[in-house]
Amino acid sequence: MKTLIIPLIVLLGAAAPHEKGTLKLASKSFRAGDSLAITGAKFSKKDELTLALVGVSGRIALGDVPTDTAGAFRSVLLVPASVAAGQYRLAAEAIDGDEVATLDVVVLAASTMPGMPDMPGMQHSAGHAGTDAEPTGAPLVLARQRNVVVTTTTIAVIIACALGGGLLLRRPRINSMEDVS
Amino acid sequence: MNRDGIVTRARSVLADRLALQSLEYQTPARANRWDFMLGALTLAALVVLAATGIVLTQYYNPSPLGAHDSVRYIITSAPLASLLRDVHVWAASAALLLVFSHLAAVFWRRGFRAPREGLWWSGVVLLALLFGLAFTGTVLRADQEAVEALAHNNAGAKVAGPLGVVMRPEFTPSVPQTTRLYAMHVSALPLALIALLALHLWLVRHLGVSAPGEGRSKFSSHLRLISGAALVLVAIIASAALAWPATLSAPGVDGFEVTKPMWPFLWIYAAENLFGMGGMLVAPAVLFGFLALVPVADRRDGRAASLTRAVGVVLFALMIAAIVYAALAPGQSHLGMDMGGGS
Repeated sequence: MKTLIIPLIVLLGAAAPHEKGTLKLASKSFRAGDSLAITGAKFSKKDELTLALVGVSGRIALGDVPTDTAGAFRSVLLVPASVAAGQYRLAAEAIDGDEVATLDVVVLAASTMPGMPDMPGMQHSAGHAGTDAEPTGAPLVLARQRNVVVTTTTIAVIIACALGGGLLLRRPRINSMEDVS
Repeated sequence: MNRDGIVTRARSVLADRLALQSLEYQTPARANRWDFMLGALTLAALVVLAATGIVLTQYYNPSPLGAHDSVRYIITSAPLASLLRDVHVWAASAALLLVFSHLAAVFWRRGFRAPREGLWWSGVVLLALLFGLAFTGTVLRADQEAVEALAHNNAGAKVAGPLGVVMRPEFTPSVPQTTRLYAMHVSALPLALIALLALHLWLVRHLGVSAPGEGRSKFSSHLRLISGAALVLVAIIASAALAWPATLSAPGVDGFEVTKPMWPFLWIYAAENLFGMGGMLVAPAVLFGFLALVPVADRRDGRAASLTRAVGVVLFALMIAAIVYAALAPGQSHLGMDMGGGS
């Protein structure tokens, strides 16, 4: 086992020359031309990072930020007004081009999220990943909508499956020599 | 013509048109026992997963910022889709539980010996694919557990080097990672699963099951029994879905680990608790490496066969113990993530 684990641990060390960090934004959707307040943590200490938006239209550099002695930074960068609306990744790159953090973001063209029509029951709560929200694994208390027809039909299907299954399992009784031709 | 005559005639017409006589071939009567039906029941759970999953694709939005909202919408505003999501989640647990039970039963009765090595190996790859489907399914919720799963995926993909390129966020700028994992969940993985299932069933049909004994039974009788068991399974899954609906936590926050994974991954979580990132990678490698070697190590009765069985039993016991330990132990953060709550 040691012969397996030791090279793997060496490989793990070699594969991570930079500290992987995290990026946070006030909101993961913003408009072209906006000033973007970005904070980062857990990066290599006293390092220089390049922040860029990466999307289908290419890579748009937002600027360079230095990390402090704790490997953190806080910066406000301008999103160029020429950036097209759409899905991007906000990427933090180390000086050798190694990507050390990434965050999915949306650049908005209008006042609403593109391709996301308002639907009843939708709160537009998404986008907390990478924001300042408190993490929790506790289940959300949601007003689960039940429909009488759906519930009644489901109960009927359950009963039918249980009875049908029971009948098929009961008849015919299979024993070791049954059906021998 | 009386009622019985009509039924007999109808059955005859149907049997002729659908070639149902081909189901009258003989199988070992012992195969009608419950421990020989676990594979078929896994297949039944997979059919439920496919049917409910197809409906869910019409409600789920795989964009990173729309994913959580769409799951929330399913729960709060689409009663049928919400119930089908609950069934989907329970069927996934059932499929994994059944496939593990099937694997353990086949291992114990040495159903992997010649000429059934291919049957065993295709089953091992099917198990890996089921893990892949469960993992990608977890990520799609975009809640805290999903974000943590994605962080582990990215760390593992980086270590895997060129083999992990497709799983990395920077693979392509044109499609977000959540969307790509969704595509894998609904296309590549199910297609691979169907192809391997076809091979698995072909081999079962032509090599037969490893069931000693003189008694013979028609396959049509066996089919009736497994259909009955499958219906009971559907009833159990649907009852569980009604009684204990699937949950959703708040949208995930990067850089924190405050949850534990779905139960089939808890043994990997336990290994990561004990040995760090190396444990997360080595534990599955040990399990799947052992499973791949089983037909080679245990070909006939003897010392090697006894040793293989002993190692298998120990690994299985370790896995169960690791799952119980991880379920009961306090949460732990990995990969340098924070535990939240000011820690």
